[in-house]
Amino acid sequence: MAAGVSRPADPRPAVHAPANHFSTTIDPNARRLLDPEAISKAEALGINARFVVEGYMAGEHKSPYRGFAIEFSQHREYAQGDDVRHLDHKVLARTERHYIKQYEQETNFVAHLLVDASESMSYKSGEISKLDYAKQVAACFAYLIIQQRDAVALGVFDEEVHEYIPRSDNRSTLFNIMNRLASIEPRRETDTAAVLHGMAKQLRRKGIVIIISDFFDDEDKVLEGIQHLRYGGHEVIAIQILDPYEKEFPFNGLVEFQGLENLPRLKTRPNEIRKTYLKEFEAFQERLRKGLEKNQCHFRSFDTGQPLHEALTAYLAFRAR
Amino acid sequence: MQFLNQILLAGLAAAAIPIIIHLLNRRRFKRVPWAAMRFVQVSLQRNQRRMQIEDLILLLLRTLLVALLALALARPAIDWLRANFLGSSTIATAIILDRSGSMAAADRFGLAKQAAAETVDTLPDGSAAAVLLTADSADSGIFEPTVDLRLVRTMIGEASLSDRPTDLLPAVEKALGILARGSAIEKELVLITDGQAEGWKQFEPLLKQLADAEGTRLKIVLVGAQDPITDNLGISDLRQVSALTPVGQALRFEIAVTNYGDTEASSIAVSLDIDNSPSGDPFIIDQLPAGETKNVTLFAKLPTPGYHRVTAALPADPMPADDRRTIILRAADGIEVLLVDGQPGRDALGSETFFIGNALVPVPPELAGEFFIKTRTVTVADLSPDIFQNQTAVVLANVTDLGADTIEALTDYVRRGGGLLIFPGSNTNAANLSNALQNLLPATLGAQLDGPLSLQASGLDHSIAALWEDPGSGDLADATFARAFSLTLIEDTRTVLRFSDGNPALTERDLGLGKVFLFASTADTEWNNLPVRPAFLPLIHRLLGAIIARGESGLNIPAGTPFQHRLRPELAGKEAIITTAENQSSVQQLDAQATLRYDRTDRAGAYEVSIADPPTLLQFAAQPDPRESRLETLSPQQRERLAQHADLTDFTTTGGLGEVLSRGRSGAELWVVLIIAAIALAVLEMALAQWFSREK
Repeated sequence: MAAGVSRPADPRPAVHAPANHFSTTIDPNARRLLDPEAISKAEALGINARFVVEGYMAGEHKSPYRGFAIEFSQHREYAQGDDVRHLDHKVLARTERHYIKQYEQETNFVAHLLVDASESMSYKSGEISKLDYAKQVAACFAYLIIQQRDAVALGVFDEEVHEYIPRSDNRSTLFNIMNRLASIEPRRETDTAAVLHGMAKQLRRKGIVIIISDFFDDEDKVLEGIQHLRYGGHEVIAIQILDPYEKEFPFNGLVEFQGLENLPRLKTRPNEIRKTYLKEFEAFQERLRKGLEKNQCHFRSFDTGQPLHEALTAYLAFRAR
Repeated sequence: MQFLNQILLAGLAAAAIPIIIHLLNRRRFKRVPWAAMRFVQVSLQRNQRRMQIEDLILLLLRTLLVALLALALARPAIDWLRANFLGSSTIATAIILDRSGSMAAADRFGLAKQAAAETVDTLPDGSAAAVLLTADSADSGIFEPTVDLRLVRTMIGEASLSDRPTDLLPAVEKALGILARGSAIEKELVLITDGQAEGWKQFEPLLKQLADAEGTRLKIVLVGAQDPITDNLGISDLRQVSALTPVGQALRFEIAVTNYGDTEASSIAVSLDIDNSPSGDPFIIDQLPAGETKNVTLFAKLPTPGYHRVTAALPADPMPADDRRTIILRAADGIEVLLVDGQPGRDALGSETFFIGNALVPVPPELAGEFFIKTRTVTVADLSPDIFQNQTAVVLANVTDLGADTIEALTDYVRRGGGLLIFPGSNTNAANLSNALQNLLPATLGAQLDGPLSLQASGLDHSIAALWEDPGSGDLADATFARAFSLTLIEDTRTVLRFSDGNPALTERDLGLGKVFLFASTADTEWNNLPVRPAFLPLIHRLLGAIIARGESGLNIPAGTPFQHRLRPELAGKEAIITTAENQSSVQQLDAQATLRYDRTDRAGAYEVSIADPPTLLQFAAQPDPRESRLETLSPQQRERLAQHADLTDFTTTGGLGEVLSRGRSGAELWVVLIIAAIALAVLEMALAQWFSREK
């Protein structure tokens, strides 16, 4: 994992019109990830660190411009969207390669968005899959965080983290995040616990870890991973994305369930096992909720049938209390 | 266990359908990619065993349901259930009840009705029965099987015997046709007869019918066959020999008595009754060997003009139907014949009508006034339109130049029942006569044939000439004809006598209620010597008798033959009351031609017809068929052959027919039980399916 997210001082004024903000630089698919209504409602609420984090230097983000780079950290090859002001001209002159300088920075807080892109997230009963919904949630969080001049990092995982955008509070990073989110395709199985343990080991600075997943994994192991993160001093927000069908199991007749993530196919008459299913499902949810609460984590279950702005606003309102 | 619809047993294969559907359904799952498999997996593991058991239960129920339906359609029947719990399967049965004349012997018909009633009694509930009352044809009964067995019993109870001959083939054909048209699974034909061989005279076709009756159980119940009647004397014929039936004259009757038994009969008293009164002492036949017939001649006088019943009777024996035979005769009060002489001649002998006049009144002149035939001779000039009234017959001898009015009056006279005898002669112009009397003549006159000619000596098949078939009655052929007209018959006329060369010598025509005879030659000896031959007198009398009988033709008919008689035109449309020998009356309306038609002549004996206005009385009689007196039954070989196709049973007064009839019938049908079980299973299946598929 990258060591940190560079956030050079950005003199540009805050952006209040997200739709126009990315009009020339973002993938059209990526733009769709930002729900304007969700953004507009959630923006007013902002996202606040519930705990003191290292970057929380002068109150709760009253002056987003206080933070600045103080220590060179490393070079990184230039990528599209990077601020050209951070190009290291010396290196360019010497090697004719484009490197930008990255700095350890003091910031308000760092939010790590971990998006589950395993195959189980591809399920959809309606028009939108869980992964699409998760992408939108992640995009909105990223936007909000960067909008309030905090740093955000993105990790896309299944069995492991295979897409990672280092932390940054730069608006151009937001473009990277959007584009990256838009290009995610679900694949492979999931191993949330391993990913969380890995993240816990790699994250040196305390921050907020926002896990966006269906959590259809071994909940005990997942909770261990979360506990590991919490042990490292991170605030953990667990956003569970579910499809309404997964909560209701409304199937009738003869159905062959084709397991995603290489699970075996099962033929059954769903109405004859519905009660058991719902009972099992509720039990799982309850175990997950209690485990997370025990670790002082926020847990929210979003329903892909629910308008994103409602879900996001409700959570941020809760968080603002 | 039997299956009445064996072919539908194949439907049991349908029991595989639920299994096939079950297997096919496994391919018809809706496929859903699913993320939350862990919950489905756990839920399935917890419910799988229960679901498998439920599936198995439903599959078993559905398979059983289809199997039960298939079994029900195959209509299984079990014998032991019939005996213990349920009735037999329903049957469509056709009962043929023989009511021919032979069934009268030893009250076999009563026994047959008892057998028929027992047949109905043995029918399982819900069965249907048809009844065919038969003799030589099955023209009464219930021709479509009915489940109203009370009606069938009534029909059997009210069935009456007939005196008609027996021919079982039409009835068997009809009964098998009735059963074949029906949709019943179990079909049964029960033929109840006395087994008289005469009834099976079409044995081979009957056997073929029975052999071809696939799918129909055949049962033949023979009544009285085990108790043969060995002594039966019967009157096989009764006929009037006398040509005419004058009042008060001794009439000759010939009675044929036949010994139908196996042993010689002796001292047989044969009596003749007129209107149920003995006409004299009975004639005693000393001995009559078995199988032989003896003709007995008896004389009787008819006391008054009008209809009389003449009955020949024998002492009663086990077969009463042939012990009496009745014919109806109409006695004529006086017979008047008008002789029209076309060539009177100088003296009596030269008269054209001399010989015929003497033949009609063959008594000395002093007795002629008392003779029952009166003649009056006139010439053409004496003829007037009303001269023909009250004449029994008119003779035209060598007559020419009849006026149109006379011809019209003559035609009307004949149509109203008169008789006309026409003799040509030397005055006759063939063409003119044929033309003038074209509406009367039975033939047209042609060229003259020159002799010598003689009358036929044999092949005398007309009733008038049949007498001379017996050489003892004389010989017609000894008369010689020097000249005669050739005669060409017109439509619907007959030849009574022929010349030996085949040309017609005497022709006849029925016209209205009357009759016309035309001779080819003269009435005197100018062209032939017949008038001086012995046969001339009986021939003229027989012609006169035929003219009189013309008005009464068809009064004596075989039993079962429809009676049809034309009455006077003024009776058209009138209602006639017909009373049978058993004193049963019915009303019949005459048609527009004043013809009475009456079909119910099954019983032998006298029938009386009365019409109120104008008061009219008429009698006719039906005679039994003498073949019914032959009581020989089926031979052992015939019985054996019949038994190859049918259950042959002898029925006696001790009964016990039920067991025989029940033989071969299917046991209690289970289809109702199976259908109920199937319905119960269907309800159970639906309830369980609902219960099993509830949300769990």
